[in-house]
Amino acid sequence: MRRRNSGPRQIDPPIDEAGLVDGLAGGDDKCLAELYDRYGNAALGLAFKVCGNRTIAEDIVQEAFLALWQRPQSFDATRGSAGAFLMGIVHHKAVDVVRREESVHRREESVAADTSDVPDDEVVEAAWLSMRRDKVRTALRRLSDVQREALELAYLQGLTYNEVAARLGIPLGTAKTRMRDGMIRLRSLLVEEEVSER
Amino acid sequence: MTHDELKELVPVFALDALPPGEEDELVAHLKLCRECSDLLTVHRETAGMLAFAAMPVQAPGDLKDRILSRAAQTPQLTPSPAPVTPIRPPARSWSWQWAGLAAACLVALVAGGFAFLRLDGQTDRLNRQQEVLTAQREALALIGSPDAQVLAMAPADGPSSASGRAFVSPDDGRAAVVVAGLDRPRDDDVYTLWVIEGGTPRRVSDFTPEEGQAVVPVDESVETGSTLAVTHEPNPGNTSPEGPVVLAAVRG
Repeated sequence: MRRRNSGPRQIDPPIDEAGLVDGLAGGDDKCLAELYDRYGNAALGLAFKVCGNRTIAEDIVQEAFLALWQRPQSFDATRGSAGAFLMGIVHHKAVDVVRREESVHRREESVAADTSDVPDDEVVEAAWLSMRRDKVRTALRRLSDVQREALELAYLQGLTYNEVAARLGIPLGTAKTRMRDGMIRLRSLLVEEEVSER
Repeated sequence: MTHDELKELVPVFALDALPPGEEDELVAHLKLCRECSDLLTVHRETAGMLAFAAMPVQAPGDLKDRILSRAAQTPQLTPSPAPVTPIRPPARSWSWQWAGLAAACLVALVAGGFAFLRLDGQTDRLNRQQEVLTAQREALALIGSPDAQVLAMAPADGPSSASGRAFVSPDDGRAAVVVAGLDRPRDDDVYTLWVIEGGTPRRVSDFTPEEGQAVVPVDESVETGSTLAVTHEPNPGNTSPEGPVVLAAVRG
């Protein structure tokens, strides 16, 4: 678990995430704690955004971290970052819950207002997280309106593409195309931003 | 769905936005298609970044403790050990070789109007074709499964161009057999797959390979100690083997 020096606009995480997952594989729960310190609030934010229920969101986060703890070997550092992998688990579980229990769905946004926003202050992880969020949101703003709308409905509200199409009153093929093009464009923008910051 | 149609679904899948039926089909395809699998890696990383667009929520102080406490009581799962016998693929490339062959066979199956796998009793052709497609799809999923037990099917009578692998589900014993290098059958003769248990053969199905290759689903349990055998039969529909054994493997 080595820490790297990170400047104010450096994108790379200040800790070695792959090393943390390796630590998990060795049964080191301190690595689990470090990953939680880094991603716990972001994971809870995502789970809450998708399922709209604070208690269930906490359960989802708990199950996601435990899933990684149980099967750390399922993460392959050559195929992406640990953060994206973990958030993928959280998202998958959240969507699963939403589709299984429509009753828990939706929207306690007003509750979110007073529970969100981690203070960024001097906490390194929070600052890094905040920077990453800014970066993603900037990229999202640069998508076309229809692409952004399709991605947000699908990912952040947990809708299937069929549901997205129905919600927007567009053909299924159009919904798929907007998602695909949005994902391709988003990736391109994220890479572009990363390059420009180096 | 075709490869291109499935490929179009990859970014949607990365967003967890596919309905269950399409998701199942894509998951089976991903196990066999490196191109789509690599594409998924890229889109999953992007989706993972998208996750950070959600506003973080301050977790309650005890959530971390709950997770660590549960972790302390939760044993970690180690990767499945390789079975001693029969063999398991030592490297991914080996598995992909057979998976690729199986995928190619499926394409041939669909494109060729079931030319190479002629099951008996085609009284209701459409229904039968649907059943065959379903069986093939399940077989492909099994072939791509990392948990499948892999049996090397060896020529029974010395050196031969024929080779095969049987992929057996550890859950219910169902299997899929992939064969290659078979000679083209003549006249009415066919190849037949058998499950031999306690010395008693049960015919699974007759098949005719296309360019020497075929995928044959085994929709019954292959018990430990049973033999899977491919014979070259003079007639279709034989209820006991009459022709020579071409390939065989014992489930250990």
